[in-house]
Amino acid sequence: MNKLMTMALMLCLCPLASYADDMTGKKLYQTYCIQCHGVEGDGYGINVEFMEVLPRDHTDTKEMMARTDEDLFKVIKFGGKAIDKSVLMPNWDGNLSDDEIDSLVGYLRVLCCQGEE
Amino acid sequence: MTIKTKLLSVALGLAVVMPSFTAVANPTAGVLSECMACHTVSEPSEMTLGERMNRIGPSLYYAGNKFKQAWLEKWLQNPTRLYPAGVFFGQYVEVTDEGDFVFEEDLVSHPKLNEQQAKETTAALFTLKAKSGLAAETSPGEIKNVSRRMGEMNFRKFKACASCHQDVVGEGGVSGPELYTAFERLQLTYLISYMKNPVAWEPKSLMPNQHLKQKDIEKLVGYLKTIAEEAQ
Repeated sequence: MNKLMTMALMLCLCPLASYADDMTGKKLYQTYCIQCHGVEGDGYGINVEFMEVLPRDHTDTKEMMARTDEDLFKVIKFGGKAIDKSVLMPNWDGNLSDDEIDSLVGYLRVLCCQGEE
Repeated sequence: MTIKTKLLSVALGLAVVMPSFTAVANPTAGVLSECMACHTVSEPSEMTLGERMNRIGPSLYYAGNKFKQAWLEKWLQNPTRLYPAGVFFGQYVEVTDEGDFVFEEDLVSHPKLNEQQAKETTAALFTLKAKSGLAAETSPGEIKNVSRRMGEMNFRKFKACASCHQDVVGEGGVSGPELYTAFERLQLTYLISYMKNPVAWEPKSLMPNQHLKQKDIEKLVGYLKTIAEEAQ
């Protein structure tokens, strides 16, 4: 049983390990996302003072684990209204390629659940 | 990096990159090379994220299709801050327990030119006409004023422009340029075309393309017209 649990845990962590190696996601995050989500991803970016809805805290493990990678991809590409969330989260489909959005999703998983080295 | 170290590196950086316009003997010949310390004056074949993050001033290679000439000449003689958090905010952010803040002391101020220098610089900048095709394919039509109340609601709540831009001094996001002078400072064709497709002008633009219809863009521009008139 213990062996099974260890294997299951390893399977869960493997994708996260590959995300951690991807610096593109971090660079994209620092360029496009920190203005609202904050340098540390806690939702307290420089633009939030006049916002009616606080941007998502990407370091909130519980909240972020409730979202699938597909949800995250969708909200970045098509904006908050695509998943019935705030219109304050814009659609980035005109600025970012699907590969870049994938990298961002990967970095979100590092921020929320893995911590940075 | 501590604030002290950061200040020191900015000071050292400025010593290298900030132009000294008083030292220019022949502004017509030298002025654009001075501008290049902070601005891109020729269209790059591509731009990396790293280059975007290190930018101090906005691109000028399409200045002749972007600014209104009279505004530019006047502004160069009395420059005010258009980007409350700098052209790339990431360079000036301090993380604190109360959230991220712009470390304003780090922000770079634009050099002030005298009347003659401003005239010559403007003339030189107006020879930079990249993206003329985008400007030419834009038909602005007549822009009607949109009321402050309806326009503000559209700008702030429905289109969420205020997340990044200020429509009133001190009100709104700080990562994008202020927009209460946009109508006064930018050509109409540029405003409309940029709102339609920001990355067509700036490959690494930080403005999302909301796929706005011409009518929606004209409503937003009508509001920019109203607030620019109020700001005067």
